[in-house]
Amino acid sequence: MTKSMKRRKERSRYLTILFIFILCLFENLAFAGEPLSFYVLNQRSVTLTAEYWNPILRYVSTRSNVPLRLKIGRTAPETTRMTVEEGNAAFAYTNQLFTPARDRLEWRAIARPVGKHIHGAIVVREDSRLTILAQLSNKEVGFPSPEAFVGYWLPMDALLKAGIRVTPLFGGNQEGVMGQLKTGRIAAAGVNAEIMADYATREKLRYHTIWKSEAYLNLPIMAHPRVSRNTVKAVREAFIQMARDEEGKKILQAAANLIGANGETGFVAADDQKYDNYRRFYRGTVLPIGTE
Amino acid sequence: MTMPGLTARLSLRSRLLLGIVAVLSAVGLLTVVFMTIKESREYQGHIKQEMDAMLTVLEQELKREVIIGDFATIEEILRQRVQCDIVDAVAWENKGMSPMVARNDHSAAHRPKWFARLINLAHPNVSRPLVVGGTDYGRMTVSFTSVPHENRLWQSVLLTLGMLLIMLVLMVFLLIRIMQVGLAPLVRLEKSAWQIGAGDFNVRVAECPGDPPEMRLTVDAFNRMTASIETLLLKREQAEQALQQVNDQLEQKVLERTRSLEAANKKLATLSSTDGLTGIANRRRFDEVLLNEWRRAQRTRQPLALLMIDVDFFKNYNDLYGHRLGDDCLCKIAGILQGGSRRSSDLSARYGGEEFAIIAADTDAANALQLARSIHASIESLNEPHAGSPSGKVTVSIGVATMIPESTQQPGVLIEMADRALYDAKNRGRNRVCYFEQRGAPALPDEDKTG
Repeated sequence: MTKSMKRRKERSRYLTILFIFILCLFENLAFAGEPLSFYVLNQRSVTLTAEYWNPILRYVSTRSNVPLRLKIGRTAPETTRMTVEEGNAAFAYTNQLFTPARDRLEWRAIARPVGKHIHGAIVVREDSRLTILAQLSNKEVGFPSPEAFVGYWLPMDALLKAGIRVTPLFGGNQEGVMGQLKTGRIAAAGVNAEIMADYATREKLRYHTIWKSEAYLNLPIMAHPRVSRNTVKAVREAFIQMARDEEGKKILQAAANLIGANGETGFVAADDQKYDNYRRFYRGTVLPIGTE
Repeated sequence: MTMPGLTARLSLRSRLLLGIVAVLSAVGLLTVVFMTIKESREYQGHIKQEMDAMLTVLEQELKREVIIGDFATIEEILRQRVQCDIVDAVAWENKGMSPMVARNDHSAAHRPKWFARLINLAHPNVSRPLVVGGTDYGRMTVSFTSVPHENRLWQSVLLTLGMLLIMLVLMVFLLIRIMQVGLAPLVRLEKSAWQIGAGDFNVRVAECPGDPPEMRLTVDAFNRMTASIETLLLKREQAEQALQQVNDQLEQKVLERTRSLEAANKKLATLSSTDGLTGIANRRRFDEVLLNEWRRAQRTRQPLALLMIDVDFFKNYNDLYGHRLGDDCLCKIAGILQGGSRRSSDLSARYGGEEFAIIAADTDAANALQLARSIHASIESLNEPHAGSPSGKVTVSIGVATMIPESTQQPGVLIEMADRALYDAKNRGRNRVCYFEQRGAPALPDEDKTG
């Protein structure tokens, strides 16, 4: 290598370092001025999701001094894809980043809504002769949707692992499939066990649970590793403080009223390790999603 | 031309047609105007509802896409919304970006501009912010256009007017047909009236089964009237003929009476101027003729002659032969006097008793004497016996006088002169002719001279 070549190589190295520095500078500036993307997994309609999350994000933005912008895709897979693929995704409310491939992106749970754990379950009507999973073989079993974690992935994974083949029928949402069970349209249903309990009480439906998953925490708010620690901290604090602040309480109550949720509202700090059962599920599932 | 004059020139058919066409046209046009106004007002209310509904739907559609940020879908939604013909443009704008606008380029105006100005429909723009959960996602704006509704209203007006026109044409045809059938009896009536006016009272208006009842009654009444007139005229003609006969008979009677009256009058006149015994002119007639001839002689300055004749010794004749023969004798002498006159204009008259006179116009003294001698000879040649006369037969004495009367003289002068000549003839022994000679008159034979 000649001297001139060495000099040229050093010059290009300096230029590269300078370029990266400038990029980082612009990125920080961007974080300071431009709103950060806050992705929300589709659990409800896009509009209802926006009506639910926009007041909360506006509150958090004000309190944390970190401008946040709601981002959502047309469907849950699309939102997940956008979350993963978009270059400046900062925060996400999702439980779909624990798959092995996505877990390598190092998104970390920073907060979660208060509330009980959730369970996946397969239920039948009380008058049904079905009592064990094996009896569901080659029968039509209802599920909320192909993207439902506790309503489809957990029970279907259990069925597949038990070697039971069923014909899935999707009811659109949790209560849709519960309605089909109540009318006898389907023999059994994969559901969120907590929602099923509330539904049965309200509709006076007597049912049996023939399978139930382990307990999972509800969806967490996750932060991308590129977001600075201070920013994450500010945002998490703002979320946690909402339930302790009058204005935050009002917003939370209004949001709860919007979706008809009862019980405790607000957010608490999330321990990322408590979501390891999600990671374990994705690693061990026989469903195609686990290999993504 | 004034309206009454114009109206007077229009036939019943034209009046009916014009009246009905005018009324239907007015009602139709009023209906069109009323319906257009009503539809315009309804549209104003409808467009408000449409605007609200459109904005609500658009808001729901756009909300999801602006939240997602799918601009292609937003554009698609805007394009879909602008497909609605009452939408002129749909736009969505957000801070820091150019507005996304979709325009309607298929709402062409088919209605005339004056129609649009007349109905004056609004073209409102409405705008609404897109806020989801308190976050502003920009503003959507919809520009509405009333052109499609104006087009629809215009089409509706044209359709209504077309239907009105068709209705009018059908109505006119129907009316013409009805009037043609309904007024046909009137045409027949008119034709018959002209024939009747020309004197043909036998004519009757034919009745057709299709005639309206009113017309049948009218035709029937007309025919009855014509029959009555014909009967009356027949009676009148018969009466006139009878009257004519009566008139003719009356005229004939009047004629006959007139003739008989004329005959009676003539007879009476003859009787009043004729002597009853002898049949020649009497003294009254003598006086009339003498006065007329006297005046004529005065005018013409021609001589007038008068002969006074007296039967000699006639008292003796009556005494000897009786009055009946005396009368016969007088009649014979009168016959000679009547036959002895020279001309038809000479007048022989019985002057009174046994005295006669002859008036001869345009007769001078010589001719008068010749006439007197001729008469004297004729009477003498009768040889009528008269025992009381010295000559043994009936004779006469004649006094002759002639003169051209002056205007101041009266006929009595001539009578007096003839009387004096007669007196002179009697004094000289009767049975002779004497002439009264005036001074300066032509000389006459001696035995005949008097004066």
